[in-house]
Amino acid sequence: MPTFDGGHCFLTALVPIETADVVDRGGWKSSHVQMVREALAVLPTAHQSAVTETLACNSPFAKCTKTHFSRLVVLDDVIYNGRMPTSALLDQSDRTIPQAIDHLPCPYLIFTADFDAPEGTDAELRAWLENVWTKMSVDLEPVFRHCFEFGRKVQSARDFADYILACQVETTMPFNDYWHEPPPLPSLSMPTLIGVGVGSWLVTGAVFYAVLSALGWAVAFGLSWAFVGQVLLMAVLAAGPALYILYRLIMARGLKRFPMAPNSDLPSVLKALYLQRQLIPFVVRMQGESDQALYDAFGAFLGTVQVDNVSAPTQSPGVIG
Amino acid sequence: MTQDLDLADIQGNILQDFVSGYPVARFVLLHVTEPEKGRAFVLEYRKKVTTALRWASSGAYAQKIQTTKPDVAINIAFTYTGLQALGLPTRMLARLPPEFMDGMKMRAPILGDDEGANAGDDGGLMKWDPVWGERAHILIGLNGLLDDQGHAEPALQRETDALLALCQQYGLTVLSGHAGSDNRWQDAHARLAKNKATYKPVPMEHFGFIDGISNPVFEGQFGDPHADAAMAIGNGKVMAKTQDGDNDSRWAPLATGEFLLGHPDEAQETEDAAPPPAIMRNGTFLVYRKLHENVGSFNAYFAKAAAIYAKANNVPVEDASRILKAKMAGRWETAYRWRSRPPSPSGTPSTPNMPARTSTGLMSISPIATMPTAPNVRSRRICAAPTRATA
Repeated sequence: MPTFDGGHCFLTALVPIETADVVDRGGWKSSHVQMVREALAVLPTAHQSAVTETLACNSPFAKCTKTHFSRLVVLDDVIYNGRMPTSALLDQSDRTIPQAIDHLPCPYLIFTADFDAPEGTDAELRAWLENVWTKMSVDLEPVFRHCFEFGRKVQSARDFADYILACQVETTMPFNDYWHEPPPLPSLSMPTLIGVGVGSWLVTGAVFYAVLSALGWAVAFGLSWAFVGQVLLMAVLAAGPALYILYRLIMARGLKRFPMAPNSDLPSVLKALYLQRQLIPFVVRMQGESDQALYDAFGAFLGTVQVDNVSAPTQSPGVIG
Repeated sequence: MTQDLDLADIQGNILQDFVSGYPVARFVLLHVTEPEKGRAFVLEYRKKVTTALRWASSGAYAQKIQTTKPDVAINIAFTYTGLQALGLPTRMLARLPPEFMDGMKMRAPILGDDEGANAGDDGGLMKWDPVWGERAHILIGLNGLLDDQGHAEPALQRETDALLALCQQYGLTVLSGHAGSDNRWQDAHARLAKNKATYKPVPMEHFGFIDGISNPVFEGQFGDPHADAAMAIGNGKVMAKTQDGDNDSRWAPLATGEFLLGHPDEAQETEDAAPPPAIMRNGTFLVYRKLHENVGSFNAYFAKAAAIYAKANNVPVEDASRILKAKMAGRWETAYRWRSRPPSPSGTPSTPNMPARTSTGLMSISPIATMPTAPNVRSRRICAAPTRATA
């Protein structure tokens, strides 16, 4: 299940936004979806450049040391992309009759997140959700309060996890970007594929033959056209199940999770970003220096940045680039 | 799934006709000098804008009642230069339609408003009110109620004063140069009919034809597929014949995107919108146009022509006048189309003021016989009203 992949959880939740009533804002009224938009507009994003690092506010998700990315988006409706294309020559149907257009029953708040889940278990997802609510309910409540029955259903971190899990949809294409070399996922070898294919073909054919024999319809072994025809028929009939078994084998391999990439948890990624940001100015600073000066300075640099120490010094969560 | 509209995000004058509920109107044009202050003004004034949320007595609308009817319905619209003056990003402005960018003045020749302008007489653009000589950025429409003496209720003036005060606070200029008693705004009202000692608005335009008969119905407008379908009869689009031959069931509401941006339209497309999508979604394009109807010339022409027609066809002059008007307009003074009741061979319609019912189902429009007669109609020669326009 690709919701968990590569030691990460890729959460996707579609949270319905309330439409049964409107919000009285003291003499004027707005829809809940408008309130969600306004709440999102003032929700701080992460510090995305060195200039923004001096700002006092930061993304609430910076309070969580497992979250790599998170995004909150309002989805008003499904995009209608025009009529289903058909051939004007072959399809003589009346183009003046409009095709049906799908609509969502209500606007949705899309909540996606990518966070560390090395074991790939549902318990990790629940723990992350509960942690999110515990640490940032003050920030997120103005957004989620306009979702369907949120106020009635969510009183605690546990309730928040229950609520989001009820809105979860399977993530079918996670963005796994931490492998910089081919992951250790050996492909199915050709001998294995041939062995499984031929083996299942023979076994299935034998089963068919046994069934025919049991029914008394089998032609006895011998050099007759009837027997040859029977063998050919068995071979063709057995090819279908054999191909299906191969297909399931390949798909089962495809569903295997990516293993976790080395150093791809958030603390390691933050450390990597920290090293990158320290190294570049160092390189610029040392242009034209003598070999000895460079050697000495780099030694001092390694001592300062402590490459192997993931916890410190490092980049703060919520600082990108 | 049917179209469910976010009524609180749609201005009230798009989904319903304010002229019938608010017979008096006032239009104010504003000019923004400082983008920041202009935006602050919009943020503040949006609280007063009347949305499409339903209030009681909103006719056929099936949506839940979520607000109360305001004393003054207020709406706001922006010109292209207005959006520029508010400091909107070029990325958004560049994706607006060229027709909107040009504005009415550039496109006046299409309307024939430049006729005679080059000849040096007072034709065409010369007849536009002087207010259009300046850069109009924001149009505010105030729609008010009338008392039984035909005067605007005081709430209209209160809202006008509040608007003026807000403009002063945020440094917006109220453009002057409208025609009328106060050149800071354009006043307008529906035609009024005197009934004993009181005045009531009547749905008639100044040439004597019933007005407001062509407000189209679009999907989602009435908040319920059945209500939409019922209201679409005569006001929607005609679909292919049904097997049961029921003419009413051939009517269907128009596509929402014909009137509201960000929704699929009759071409089965969702029009390209300026980014971000939310800025145009549920908005529309509004035409503000002031017409001068030459009622005197119109009546004088028909008095003369009707006399000739009556003599030639041996019909009463009154009938001749109605027949000629119907021929010219394509419909009788009622909502019925001209061909719905062809004249008898002698040229005399059997009941010219009560044409037969048509398949358009417009029987809800009162026939001319119940309309007040001309002497009781008090009218102004100039009437301005916002007209809904498609994107």
